[in-house]
Amino acid sequence: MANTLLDKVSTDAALEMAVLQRHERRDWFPFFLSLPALLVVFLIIGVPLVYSVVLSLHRINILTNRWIFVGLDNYLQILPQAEFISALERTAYFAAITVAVGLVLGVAMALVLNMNFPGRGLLRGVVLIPWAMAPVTVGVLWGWIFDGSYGALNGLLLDLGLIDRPIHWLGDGTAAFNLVALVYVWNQAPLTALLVLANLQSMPENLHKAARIDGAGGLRRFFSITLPWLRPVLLLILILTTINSIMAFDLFWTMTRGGPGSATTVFSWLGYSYAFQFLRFAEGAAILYVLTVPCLLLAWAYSRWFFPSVESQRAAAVSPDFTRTGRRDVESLVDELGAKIGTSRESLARLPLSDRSPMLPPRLRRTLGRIALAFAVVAIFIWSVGPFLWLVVMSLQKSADLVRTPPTVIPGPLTLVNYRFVLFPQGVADGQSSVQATRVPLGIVNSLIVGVCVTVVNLVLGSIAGYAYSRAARSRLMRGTLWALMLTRMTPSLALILPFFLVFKTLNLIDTRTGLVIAYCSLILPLAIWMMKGYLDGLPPNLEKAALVDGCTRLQAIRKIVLPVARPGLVATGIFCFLVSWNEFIFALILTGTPASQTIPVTIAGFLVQLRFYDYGPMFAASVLAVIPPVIIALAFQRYLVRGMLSGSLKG
Amino acid sequence: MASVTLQHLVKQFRGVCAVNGLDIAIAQGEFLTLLGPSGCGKSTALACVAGLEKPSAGAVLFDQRDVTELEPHQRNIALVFQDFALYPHMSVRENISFGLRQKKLDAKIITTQVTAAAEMLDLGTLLDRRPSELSGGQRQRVAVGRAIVRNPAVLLMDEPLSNLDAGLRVKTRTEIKRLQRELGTTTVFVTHDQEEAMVLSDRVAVMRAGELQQIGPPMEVYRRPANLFVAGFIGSPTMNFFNVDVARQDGKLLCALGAHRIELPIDTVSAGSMQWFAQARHAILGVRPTDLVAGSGSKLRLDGEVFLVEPIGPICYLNVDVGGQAVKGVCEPDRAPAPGERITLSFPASRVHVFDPNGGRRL
Repeated sequence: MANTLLDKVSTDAALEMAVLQRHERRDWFPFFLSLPALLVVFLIIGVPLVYSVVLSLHRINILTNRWIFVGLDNYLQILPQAEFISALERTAYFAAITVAVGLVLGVAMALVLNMNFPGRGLLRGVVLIPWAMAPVTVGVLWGWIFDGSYGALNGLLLDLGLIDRPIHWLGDGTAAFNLVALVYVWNQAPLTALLVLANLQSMPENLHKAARIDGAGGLRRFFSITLPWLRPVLLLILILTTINSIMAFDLFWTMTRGGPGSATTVFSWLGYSYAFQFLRFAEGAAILYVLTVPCLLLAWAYSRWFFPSVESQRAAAVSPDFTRTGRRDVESLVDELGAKIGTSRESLARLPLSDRSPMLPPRLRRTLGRIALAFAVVAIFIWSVGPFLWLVVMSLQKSADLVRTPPTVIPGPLTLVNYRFVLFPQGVADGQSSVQATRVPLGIVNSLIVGVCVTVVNLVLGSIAGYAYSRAARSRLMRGTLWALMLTRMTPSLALILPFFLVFKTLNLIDTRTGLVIAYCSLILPLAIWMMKGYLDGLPPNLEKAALVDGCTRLQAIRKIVLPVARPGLVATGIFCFLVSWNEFIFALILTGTPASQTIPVTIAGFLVQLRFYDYGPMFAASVLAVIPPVIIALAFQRYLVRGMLSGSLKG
Repeated sequence: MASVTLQHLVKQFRGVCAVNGLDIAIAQGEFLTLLGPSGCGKSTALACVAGLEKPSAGAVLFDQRDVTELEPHQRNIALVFQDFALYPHMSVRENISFGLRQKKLDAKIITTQVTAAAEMLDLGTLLDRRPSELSGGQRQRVAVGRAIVRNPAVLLMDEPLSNLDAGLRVKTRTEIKRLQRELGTTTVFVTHDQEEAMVLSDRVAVMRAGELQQIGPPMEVYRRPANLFVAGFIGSPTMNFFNVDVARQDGKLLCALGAHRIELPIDTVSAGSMQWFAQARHAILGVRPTDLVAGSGSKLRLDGEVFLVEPIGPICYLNVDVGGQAVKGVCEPDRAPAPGERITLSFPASRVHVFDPNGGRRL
């Protein structure tokens, strides 16, 4: 529509604008805030990853420390080997089975936890126990339950008279593999359950009410309403648990060590044994690097699905009304003038009532439902707490009582002697004292020191960078670096260990707590940034603006307003940092050598290496000590944790 | 107190123009409202005045002094946010005094100021509570208290009433008007609620898509809307618009709306648009529902069939089918016709607005 007057006005405006145009400045403040964290991530993740690529392209003689460039030879040599192929198959099988079973089990547990029953709050905390336990302890516990001579499973079956001779569960390849998978699911399913539960709780109640009015039964509603609602979180869980399963290592180390034969030699174990048992670093690096490929592919898929594309982000950033009010012009108004006055009445037919009569009488159905719920609640409780309690019981047994033949689940007399062994090794007069037991207190102290340092460092770097990412989400630079951070979170930590090991060796950081803190930052910092960003996204940006108006500088606004208000987010992130650090095993195993810097998971693993019968009791006592802090934290801060995980993972 | 001048203010976000060449001069002590639908750029303009956003072009002047590059705290302004933005970890007292403490003022002065502000807003008993322990209305008062405690040169309010429920909103806007008149602070108020704007302001600036549509005293904007957009946006219920054929005859404007013939005196349109009528065939007429009264009291008439009756208490809105177009009018609630009845709506020529169908300018 030509309008000379308006045209003239706008050309005038353009002219004047050109005259008055101010220098368009770029806001570097968020970038500077994120810079320290970015530098750290680059140094401890980027550099090692590149280093391990380089490593995998060489042949290395560790005695002469000579590096010979061989190009892709390592890959080409390994790839066609049967050993490699079957390890790959096992990894794929392991991932498929654990992800599928874990997902079904997690969703089922979440559905039960979302119902109304007495003690629901307690059960919601209790399901977290298996997840809070360090994988090493989990391996020790279940390895002992499945033990071929003295294990609880054999004990139970013998006591019940179902078998007359102990079965060597982990001695059979297929059985061992599936049992490790089962234990892995036991350990990981709570995470799925809680993520799903949080999503169930955020579901609008009216959805189900509407579906009921529409005549949908319980099963129909689950598939038509609940599952579609959960789709985003299920997709996320699918990808995260797949990556976790591909990288699973700790359980194989503690339960089967790749055996029997090579029945449980998955890919990560293969890479580990090449690099650290046969000391063939280059081949090990190549194997571990192959492992990163599927993880990066999954990470890419994740970012595609969970980062809305730049265009849609931009469209959302600009209020949609801009364009609409622009176009809601004279034409649309003129169109409205011609609108008809509606007189549609008889176009809808009257429909018959639906007569879907239930199969069972309502009262019977309700009773059956209640019985099923009670059954499910008890099952979840035993599943989550039973093994943990069994660990406690075993730690209260004399070592001699743990190795009775034939095995039985009826415990002998309870005693605290094992705790005296591990906590006050000098003061124990009776019984044989073991060397490993004397290392437990130091292990706990090391774990505490490392955990606290890791938490502090990551909270400081993570909260500031998280703030920057939360408030500058539109800047292309910030979006790019955030994407890179996400990607590093998805790379398997196993691929980082080898470069860390070699670099730390030259820097004399092997076997130091400092080295461990540095290495752990690579695992935790991207996550900490992500969690803090998620939390801060939920804070109204007007708070800082108010602070700016009140006379704060931008840094003061962060220090005086944002951080105090974000305390719940800081707590959740801090707990997470501490838990990951406390439970971590493989970095600590490889990067430490002596009790001076070994953390408690390594100490416990040490029992397994030189196992003597009088060590069993102290080992379980140490395991309980290692498990208690995370379990208490998980029970006390359950709500924080779930919210933190959600904000850390879901909100793009 | 200060005067505020916006000189050709432009703000672009990634190529989208949120504010496009805004020129407004606000006198000392004036209450100016930026009014417009969401996304029209009014809040962005306010943020530029506050210094929270730096304009892409143009300037902001306080008392003719260029403050465009100054930070918010260097401008002596205060801002009341839509979501109040009270610091949740501080008590009401700490919230109100935070700005003063940032200025490192003497403790005695701070106490006096806080007491005075609390007095004005009736916050005395709430001073030691946390924001989470307050009701919506109380929070709003604390937010206002935090703004006025510094006795700012310019008070800025970004939709401060839209988070309150209807009854409280009406009460609070009276309070705000009283307070502003007493303090005499230059105030820029942003809202999308035309009634709020009418009630509060000395002048209203209506914006759309980043551009100023009309600025003037509330009643002027109501009585003589500058274009179709302003006419449709101001006033509730919305103005009735009619697409008519026009012709000039014997010093009168003849408008044909279906079977109706409407004769308007020539002074209904401004002298400047006479030339336009020489060639035009069509125009848009606007009549507010409140000016379309049932009965034959005025000269101009429309006939139609009532299809909906909406009593609101003092008056009753009638929805009438006038030749296939829905038209809203009013009547006395006691004399409301039944749906299906035929009635006549009449209106005075002085309340007819004529607009150019191309571009929507008032004629």
